[in-house]
Amino acid sequence: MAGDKEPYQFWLRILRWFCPNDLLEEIEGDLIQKFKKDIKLFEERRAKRILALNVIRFFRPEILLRNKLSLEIIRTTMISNYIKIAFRNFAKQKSYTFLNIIGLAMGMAASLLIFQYVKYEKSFDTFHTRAQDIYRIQYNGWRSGKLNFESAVAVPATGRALKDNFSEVEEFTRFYPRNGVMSYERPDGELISFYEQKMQFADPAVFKVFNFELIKGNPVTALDGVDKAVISERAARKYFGQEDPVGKRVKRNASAVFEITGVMRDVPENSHIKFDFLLSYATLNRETKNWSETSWGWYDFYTFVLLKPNTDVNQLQSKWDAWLTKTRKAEWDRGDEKEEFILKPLTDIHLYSHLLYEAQPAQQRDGDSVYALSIIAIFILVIAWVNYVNLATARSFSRANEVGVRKVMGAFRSQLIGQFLTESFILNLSAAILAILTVRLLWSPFSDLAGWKIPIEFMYAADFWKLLGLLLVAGAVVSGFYPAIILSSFKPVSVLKGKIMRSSGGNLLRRSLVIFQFVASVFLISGSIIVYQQLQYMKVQDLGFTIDKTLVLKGPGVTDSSYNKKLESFRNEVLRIPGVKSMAAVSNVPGDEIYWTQGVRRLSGTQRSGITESHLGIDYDFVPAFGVKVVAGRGFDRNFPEDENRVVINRAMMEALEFKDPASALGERLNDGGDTVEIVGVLENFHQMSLKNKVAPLIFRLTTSTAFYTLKVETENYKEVLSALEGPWKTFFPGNPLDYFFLDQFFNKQYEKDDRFGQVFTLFTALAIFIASLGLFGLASFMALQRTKEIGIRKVLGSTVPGIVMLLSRSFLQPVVLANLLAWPLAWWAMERWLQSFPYRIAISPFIFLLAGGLVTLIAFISVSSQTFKAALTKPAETLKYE
Amino acid sequence: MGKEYLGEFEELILTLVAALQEEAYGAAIAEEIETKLKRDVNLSAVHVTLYRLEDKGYIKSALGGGTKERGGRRKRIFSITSAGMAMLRVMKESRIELWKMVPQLKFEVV
Repeated sequence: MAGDKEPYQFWLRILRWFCPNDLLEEIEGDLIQKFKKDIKLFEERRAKRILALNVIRFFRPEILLRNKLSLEIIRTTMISNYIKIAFRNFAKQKSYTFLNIIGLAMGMAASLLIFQYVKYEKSFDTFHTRAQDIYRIQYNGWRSGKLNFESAVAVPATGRALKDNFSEVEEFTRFYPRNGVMSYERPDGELISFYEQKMQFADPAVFKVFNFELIKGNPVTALDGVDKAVISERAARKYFGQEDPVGKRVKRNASAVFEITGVMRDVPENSHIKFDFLLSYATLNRETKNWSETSWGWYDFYTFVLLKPNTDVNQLQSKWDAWLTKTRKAEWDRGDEKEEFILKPLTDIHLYSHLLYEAQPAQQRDGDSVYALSIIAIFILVIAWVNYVNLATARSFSRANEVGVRKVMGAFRSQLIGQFLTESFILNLSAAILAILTVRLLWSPFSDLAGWKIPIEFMYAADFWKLLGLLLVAGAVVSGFYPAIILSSFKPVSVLKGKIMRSSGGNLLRRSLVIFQFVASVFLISGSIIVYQQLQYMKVQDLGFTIDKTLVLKGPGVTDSSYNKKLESFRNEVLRIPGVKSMAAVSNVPGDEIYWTQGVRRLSGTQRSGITESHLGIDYDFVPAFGVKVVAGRGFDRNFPEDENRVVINRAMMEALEFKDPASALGERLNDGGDTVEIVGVLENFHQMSLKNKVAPLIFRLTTSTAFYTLKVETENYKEVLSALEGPWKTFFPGNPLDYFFLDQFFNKQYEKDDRFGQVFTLFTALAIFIASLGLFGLASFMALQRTKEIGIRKVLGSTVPGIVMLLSRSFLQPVVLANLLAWPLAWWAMERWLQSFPYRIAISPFIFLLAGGLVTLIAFISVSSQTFKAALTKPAETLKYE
Repeated sequence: MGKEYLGEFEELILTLVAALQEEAYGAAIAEEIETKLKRDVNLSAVHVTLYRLEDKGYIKSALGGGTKERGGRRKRIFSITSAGMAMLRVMKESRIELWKMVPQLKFEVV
């Protein structure tokens, strides 16, 4: 613009700041014109002063508020009128308003809760700034062309190989988890020790790849070098109280000493991997003579790589595959095997990764279930909206006169639509307020029920309010629009003549909406029955061994050469305690995922390659104590001193090794991780893990395990047993905390998240049905009201009360029956899909659908019949006397 | 409608809009007042009054062309409506009515 450098520019900018746009141009023009004239008459300074004065004088309400005020007055008067009318209508129809608000509020509250939950589950691992660039290496093992296993842990050599050979890989880090006893000796000599689950040996780059925040210590050097440890704030408080942990020394299993070099914020709840201790990886390398650095066979390492931004991961994967084939081919061919190391996105782990040896399998969720819950949330919301649409259109006849009069008085259709939308907006707004209160009140009881560790702060986040706003606006528009269109479409002439057109279109829509509501209800009810049945089924199945009345002690991490003797003496002491029937030392208790795997190969037969299978270390007492059935041969026996080089296998293992029958496996020899061993017994399959997993092939080795001691206890008085245990425990394993749990509880924990899912599913199902019947109840009451006269005449002409109830109920029960027919195949299909993920599952019985259908029909009948009875019992004289 | 009345400044502006015709816009009106009536007036007062008259329906406006002396900005040209013309006439006639009531003789004595 040419005028940009003109002397008046500054003052015009001031004007622009406050002047309404549609006045700006003319005023600017006048000011410029005046200025140009002044500048010819006076000196520039004076002209400018006049200009300034003139500009400032424009700063007055007539200019500032022009076109705003006048328009706003019209709009606000209309809106305040809409609001007034809306409240009058609400007051006139209190029960209807109440039904609608309650229904909408519950729908909103339910979907707010569920969407928060879904958001939380989706937030896992996203707090790392470069989460999108982080990948975990998944290890797939192939034997003889068959996929043997898919594992979340990989071999330690992969991380470095990736970083050294591919420029796309910026950094890598590994986690190697270990359990054990950590102890700290205070200056006053007191020993503080705890059993720590999953301490992680980690590479120094862990702080570069991930955003685990260090409060104290240097992220670059904290884990660089041997014997260093970083601990969480939580652990720091536990061990050191108020003292500064940095520089302190802790002992792992009473031997290895670590220096604390850093304190880290607690790992966030929404991290898929959790730990309180990070131990320097160099320590592990020293301990394993660098095997944990170079091994291509030992797979116990969660390996993460950080890629450069915008790396095409598929391209990298194929280059990496080619590299692997080139370097590893000879090795693979020797054993007729193949390895795949696949880069999987970090952020998919929590919901979509279900591999062997996941870091926190118990907290992982199934993406489909989370997805299913969001569908339920939408169902509930839509059911509530449908209620509004149905009730509003059903009532439209009672408001037809109002619409007619308004139109005659000159209301535009757009104004009527505005009015009805205002009503639905106010209703939705009240419901939203109620929903906020409900969510606030239910947050913690609900979190307990569902086992969701979602901080209440989620409620104060902007996202929550955005979602609420969205629900509010969507609700007001979706539920308000159709009734607004219908109501505003009445023709004043016919309406005021009293001729209300019974719109068959509206009726059809209403019926299909009711059908939709009940399809959803029947679907949800039969779904929750099936979920419940499946969960029960898994819990009551024979596991193949007994897990009740079993006390488990976590074994001492500390061992020395005298351990076997100590264990034997401890056992003798324990067996003397009254009520204790047996004690068995095992490497993994039932319900505990087995990490001990190695290659197994038959020495006879045609199998060329081995298979990698799980091993369970047991002692002589395990088989009798747990009541495992011996199919052929025998279990380990103290009378056979050679048993250390013998193995027992389960039936699944026998099949995996391709033996014809249990008896033919006896006496056969195997190469088991380098040892040549003889099979002396075959055990019946038992469920080491929950029934969500297939029974895996297992090899049992005779060990004196330090991991768990299982005590079969024949008394209800566990406290006495525990206090009797303390003496011998302290004598034989001093310095180790006595940690115990009950096996049945531990085992059933595997079903915890399914139980909770079932409960949540049931809760929302109940809610959905409740809201749907609220709507039906309202609809029935209006229908009954509308047909009062008809009922009166029918009664005068001799109808009976049951006859009228049937007549009125029929129109409601028809859609319910139709809904059943639609919902059954839908539910069958969806639940069949769900059940397919269980290796041990129920068959869906048709009775479930009949039950669900019957239940929904009953609920519908109850909500309708209260209204129809009332209508049928009204005396005809009362309804007809005005005629 | 009898209650409608115009203030002195409003009447002045309305008259000028009627008089200036094609040249009736803010700056021109202000200039006219300054030169013809030797009366100091500020632009904003002229504008506000014009808008007020427009709101009352006595004048209407349209955007005209821009000139170099206005930095290319267009003018808003105002023109009187028939309601405005009627109003002006009523006011003029009532003034004349009142004027007639003043005894003319007094002037001759002085």
